[in-house]
Amino acid sequence: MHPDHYRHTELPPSTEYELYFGPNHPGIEGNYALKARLAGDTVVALEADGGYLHRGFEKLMEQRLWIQNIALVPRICVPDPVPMEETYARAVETLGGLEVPERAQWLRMLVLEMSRLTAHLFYFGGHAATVGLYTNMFWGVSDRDRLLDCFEQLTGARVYHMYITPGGVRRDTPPGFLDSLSEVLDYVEGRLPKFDDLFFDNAVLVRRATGTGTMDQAFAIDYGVTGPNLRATGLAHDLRRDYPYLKYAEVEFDVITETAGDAYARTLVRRGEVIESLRILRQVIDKLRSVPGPIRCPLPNPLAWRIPAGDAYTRTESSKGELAYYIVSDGSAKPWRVHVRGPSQMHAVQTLEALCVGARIEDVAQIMFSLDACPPEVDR
Amino acid sequence: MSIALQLLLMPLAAFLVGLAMVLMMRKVRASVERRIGPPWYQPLFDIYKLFAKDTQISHGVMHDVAIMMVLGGIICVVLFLPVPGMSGLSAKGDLITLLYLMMVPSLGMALGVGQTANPNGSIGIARALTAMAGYEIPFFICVAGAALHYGTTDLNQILTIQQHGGHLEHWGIVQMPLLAVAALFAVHAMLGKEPFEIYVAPAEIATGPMVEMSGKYLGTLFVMQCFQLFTVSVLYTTLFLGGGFSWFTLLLKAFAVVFISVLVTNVYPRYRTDDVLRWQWKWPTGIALLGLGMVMLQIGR
Repeated sequence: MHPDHYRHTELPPSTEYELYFGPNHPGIEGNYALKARLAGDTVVALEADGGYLHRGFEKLMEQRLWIQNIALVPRICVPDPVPMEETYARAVETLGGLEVPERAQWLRMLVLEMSRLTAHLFYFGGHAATVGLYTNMFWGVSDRDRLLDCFEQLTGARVYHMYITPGGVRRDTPPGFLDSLSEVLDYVEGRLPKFDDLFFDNAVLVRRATGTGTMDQAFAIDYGVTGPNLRATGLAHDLRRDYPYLKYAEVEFDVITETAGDAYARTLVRRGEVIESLRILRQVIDKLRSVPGPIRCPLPNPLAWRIPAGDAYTRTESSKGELAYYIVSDGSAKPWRVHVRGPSQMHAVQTLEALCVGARIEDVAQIMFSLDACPPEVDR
Repeated sequence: MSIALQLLLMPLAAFLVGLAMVLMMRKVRASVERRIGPPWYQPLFDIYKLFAKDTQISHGVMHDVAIMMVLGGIICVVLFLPVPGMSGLSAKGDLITLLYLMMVPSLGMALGVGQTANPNGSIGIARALTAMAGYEIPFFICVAGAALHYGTTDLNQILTIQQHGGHLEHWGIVQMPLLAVAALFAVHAMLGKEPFEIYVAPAEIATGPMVEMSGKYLGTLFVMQCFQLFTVSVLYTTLFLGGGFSWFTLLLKAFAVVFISVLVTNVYPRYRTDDVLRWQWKWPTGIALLGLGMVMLQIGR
């Protein structure tokens, strides 16, 4: 605005001022904004401001056929879209009484853990970029691309795969896929020491992330924090182990925890989860080599598919936390009501608002990214 | 060569060398980040693109004047910095004049950004001035130590002393290693690179001072960056690396100084503002004071 158009406004004397983070800001994640009130460099109050996505996923889903929503749900979380597909499909299967074949369950686990890996690699880059370490951002994104190549090989798509359908999955593994995926997993594992040198053991990062955005376990439970953010406070809560779905009860993995509850602990938990995901994926690959069978159960004509009336609540451990769908069917060809419980709803609104109070302006972006908030899960 | 021609050629040479340094920075950064990086002509095209844009918003007279102050100040610095074959105005002003002029662009930025009334810009400027307070102290100590050692503040004489007989032992880095190390840290901060890049900090303050600079304003800042890379690296070379007998040796040394800075910047996040001050006042300042003490002992003997 030209200075001639500035309007002079009399305000009461104050040592505080307002600063907008977003909706267009390099330190904001997705279509989202934060309104901060600052005194000097210290945040006095912070208000999360959503509503910039303009999609309205839940209402859109209520306007579409059951099968059409497969194309919509992954868009609710771009960095980690597969849990959206899985949770929606499982809710539809629960309502419709569909039995998912065993091979399809292993294939779903395969893409779920691949998605977790891509999301965590993306997270490493995102967190690093908030503190100015752009090399790690490029490393994370380029290594993630190797996994996206695998996704493309398996599903035909890199980001929005639409691979999991109610009743199973769309395609079986193409010839040689499991071998090429194994090579990529070895590659990712081999890259971890380099990430350690550059990022996790970096003295400046340790100084900046330690003690930043700290929450204790009681706070995390009160505020509905789940997933790696909760585990970073010392609580070993993981739906894959505590309420197993698919074939998670048949694989070995550890639930990674840290106790500090700060930004650094949250990052370390995710680093540990990368190793556990690699471990799970190798077990799943072994199973897929030996488990035969169909990859989906027979479905009726999708354009005239009516799901029996009832409601279902399904949940999945996504890379960000506990993702759940509550779906109500009135027996028609479309859902009557869909509610998405995205973990970022809790992380990006009330938790972020609370953790930023008293933090310095330098750390607002870092706190947000360390919580791995995904704004479309808020603005759904 | 006539002085008029020198005054014309020195900024031109500095600009072209600075452009090459920007390109090197981008290529090295890309290599570390596992990217290909831009083609060799990209920095020039960036400047052309920015200057070709229409300016939609002006924030008033001071905003316009300040940007000229930024560019004018840094060009003045170049004129006082002797390079092979051209001494420019270096006979009229010494090291102290040069250091004084080096502050003008920062003050120009402060005035111009202040006019924009953007809080991100104001915070950025506050941080830039804070960072200056951090690195200027060790840098001044290093410069004072060097001036004491050489017994002069005349840059031409400093070059002559170091180039005497063409031996390495006359170089400042050999004679005053502690001051050379401390000055290198300060130079890195002066270039605004991580871990001291606190005043641009995109994720924190949306690029700070540059947030209201677009089109020609941003283009001018880009040009200033080219000059800044040249002046800082050549000044360090002049004080500690024996300057250059020829343009080839001068550029070799100046590029080496920037190269070290680029390597460091790509593997570190940025500090918090107070950490920058703490670090600069602890390590470079401590090392510089030790170096100054050693120089004073040498003189005392």
